Amino acid sequence: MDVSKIGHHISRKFNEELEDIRNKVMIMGGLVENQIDEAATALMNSDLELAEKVIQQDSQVNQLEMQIDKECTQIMALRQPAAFDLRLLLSVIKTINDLERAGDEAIKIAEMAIHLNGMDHKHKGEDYYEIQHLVSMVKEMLHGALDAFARMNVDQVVAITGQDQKVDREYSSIIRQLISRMMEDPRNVGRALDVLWMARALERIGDHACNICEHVIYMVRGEDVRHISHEELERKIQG
Amino acid sequence: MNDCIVKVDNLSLFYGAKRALHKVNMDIPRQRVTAFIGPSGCGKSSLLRCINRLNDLLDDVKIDGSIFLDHQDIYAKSSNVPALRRRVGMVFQRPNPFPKSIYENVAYGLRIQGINQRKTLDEKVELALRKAALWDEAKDRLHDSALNLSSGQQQRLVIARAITIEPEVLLLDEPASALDPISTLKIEELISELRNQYTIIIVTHNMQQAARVSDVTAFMNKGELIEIGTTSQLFTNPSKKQTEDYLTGRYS
Repeated sequence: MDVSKIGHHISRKFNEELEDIRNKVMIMGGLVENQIDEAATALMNSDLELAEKVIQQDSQVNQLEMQIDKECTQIMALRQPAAFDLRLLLSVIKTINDLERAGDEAIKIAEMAIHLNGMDHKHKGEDYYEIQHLVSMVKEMLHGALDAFARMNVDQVVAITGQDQKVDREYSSIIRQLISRMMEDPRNVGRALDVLWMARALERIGDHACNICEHVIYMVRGEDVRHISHEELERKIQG
Repeated sequence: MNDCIVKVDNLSLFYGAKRALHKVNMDIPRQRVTAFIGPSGCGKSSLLRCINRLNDLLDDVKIDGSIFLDHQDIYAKSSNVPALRRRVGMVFQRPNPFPKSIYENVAYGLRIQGINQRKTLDEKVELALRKAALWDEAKDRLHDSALNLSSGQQQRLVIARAITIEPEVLLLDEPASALDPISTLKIEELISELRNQYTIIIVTHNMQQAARVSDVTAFMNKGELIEIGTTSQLFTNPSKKQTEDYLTGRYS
């Protein structure tokens, strides 16, 4: 099913309902991307106002999640969708769950920015150099996943799930560095734990982006690719 | 689909010059429910009627290819059509009870086979009505006219009449399309009860009904079989675009 065919229902109202749901998912995705971006900026620049804004945006994301869920439920009850339409709705329901949780991880980072700012000994933004790379990697992943959803195209998803392996490696290497710094000097423990929590939140965002890719594959191909290795996924997509 | 009871082999059907079926090949599994779906005029009812040779009754019908029931060619010259119709029963869209009592409707098939002993008839009538989930409603009025039953009950009566003679295959042509939703659900429930004993082939316009009652679904269009597969697969991830468009209500 390509994107241009989605609006070919005999019922025009059904077309509009599905299109509306897809648009809302994209709006929600945009909000979450923004939350992640701003949470990271708030942390680096010790920008309290921006961190607060990220936290406040949460209610908007939650509202959208509930609204989209409700609309999907209504379509299922009233139109008994089949085949692609059914898979689209199931993928949407799962995708928004992952988006909402990715947003929650962004909030953890924003809260950390506020928490660190309130401590006596303030860290400068550049203290968090370890996680800057991780931030840009997971932002790219989520963007790619949302792009795949919008285009209903699975060509890029192997690259995104491949990126997740790099994120996991980066995360492990951050942990190793933090452990050795904690061993060098116990005074580093507090800061190291803060960095660890943030790295963990970012790594989870990468996982949510991967989940969204799996939902897109299910929507487009009808194949359930959860719980398989990256290599197997690659074979399925290319084969 | 390893155990197939009905094998449709390269079947084409013409009504005069008009081709209604075009080289259909299909294996229908034993003791499963197979649904034929497709737009009006796609040939699903024509195909169903071929399975007990009902199309023979029409003038100007020509059939190429064949259908095998348990490896026997039902269109072979030696084929015994009444015997075939004992093995392959049929129920139509509108309930068509005979203007006789409930009891005599069900006993009819047995009587024309020469079975007239009261005890045997009583037993078989009760068994068929029980199987058709009509016994509780009909047991106290067995000798009332069948025409006094509601249309949902009449349809179950017709199914009881079809199964008294213990056919192997039951053909249902839109069996619930003239019924209200509750009677429809009763028929669907009945189909799922009967699936363990009979091979059921159902033609329906109601896709959700096909999805609910069948194990295997065949999608037909313009006289051709487009796709056949397990119902769960076909309704979630059909392999042909035409099937996808039909199921989701898109115009291609």
